[in-house]
Amino acid sequence: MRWLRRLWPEPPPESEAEEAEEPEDTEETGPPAVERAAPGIAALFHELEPDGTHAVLDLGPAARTHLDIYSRYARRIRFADLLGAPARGENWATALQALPSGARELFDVVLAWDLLDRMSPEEHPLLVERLAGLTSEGALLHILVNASPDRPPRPVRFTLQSLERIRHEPEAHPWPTWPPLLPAEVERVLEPFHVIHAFTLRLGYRAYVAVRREEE
Amino acid sequence: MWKKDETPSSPPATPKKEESPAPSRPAPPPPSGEQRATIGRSITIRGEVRGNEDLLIQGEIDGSVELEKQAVTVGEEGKVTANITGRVVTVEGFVEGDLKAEERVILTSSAQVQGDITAPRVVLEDGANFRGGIDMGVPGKESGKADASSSQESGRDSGPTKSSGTAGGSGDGSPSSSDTRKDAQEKSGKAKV
Repeated sequence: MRWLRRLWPEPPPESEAEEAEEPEDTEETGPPAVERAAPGIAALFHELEPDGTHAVLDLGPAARTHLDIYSRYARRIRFADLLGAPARGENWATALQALPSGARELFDVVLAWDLLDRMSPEEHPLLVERLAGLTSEGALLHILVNASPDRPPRPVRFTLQSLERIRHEPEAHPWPTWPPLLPAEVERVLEPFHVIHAFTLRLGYRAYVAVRREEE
Repeated sequence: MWKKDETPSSPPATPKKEESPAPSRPAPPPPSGEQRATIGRSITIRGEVRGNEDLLIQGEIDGSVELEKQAVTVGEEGKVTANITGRVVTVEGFVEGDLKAEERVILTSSAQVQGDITAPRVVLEDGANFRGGIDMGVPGKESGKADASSSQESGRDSGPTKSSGTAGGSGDGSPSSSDTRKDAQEKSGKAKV
């Protein structure tokens, strides 16, 4: 039966097998990095002409794949890494102020990732007001919100892999203690951005694409 | 004893990391001067750096670096608090300041850059830490079509593709290049919304 053993190698001892499948801190950090569909991103870029004339503001950290994707559409790209503000010891208000002034640079695409989830309810208007000042009429905003009880125990870092795929990677620190932003509240908070697409994703995330429109 | 490759015209103390395609061997020097000067680890400069040679910075510079027609490399140990202008600007170390290049800016995986980049092409390697703006619309320059030229690049994916705009896209493009380009097309309409 040796030939059979060669085809079906002996399983590792039980303890080892468990270790291999379940990393020590799985419960704390949530599932390992995974790649998932990104319908919100696809919808966002579907709204744009790939003519290289747009201006993109990414509030997350710079990434090679992001630059590769944005550069098909945009001539100007800014990586503000607002998400990294707490790690740099900056509070949100300071980090928001450090963004360039709208008089100097206006954007027509903004990727805000899950910033709303990381900020207190009092800070939400600061973010949206600042983004409104940095964008032109018709600008598009992509944002992710997770108010689900099933949300992963830690925030996720999102990295685009393509226009339709995104990598979710759990971060080291836990969620802030703010109450989650319920879907019904999102549209109100995002004014003057109006939601034009919303997608329910796995792990309780919802992706929103909103367009900046002044009230009629 | 005489060694074959030792010739009087070879540049003294050629750094190990030769990045530019410039000939470092006995070939006659091109008119623009292709030798590379090095600012060593122990050197600190406060002020303006100008010249007609490629430059490798392993020390510290606080001021400005203007080598418009040359290749400027901030080595892994380089620390620059200055705006840098060059033909090609490569950063492996730390820069706080704006980078402006006639051809391209390359941020390698060890780069830490805070500032704005102006260049028709920008290469951002995985692991590079960058915060700032990128402007690929250099006035007066022809649009450069994508060409994978960095060693880190293995070609672009399928280019501008319109997605379906609905949930659950399965197209799994594998982006492999960050050598970005500007398109010359100027269209007035931005979003179609």
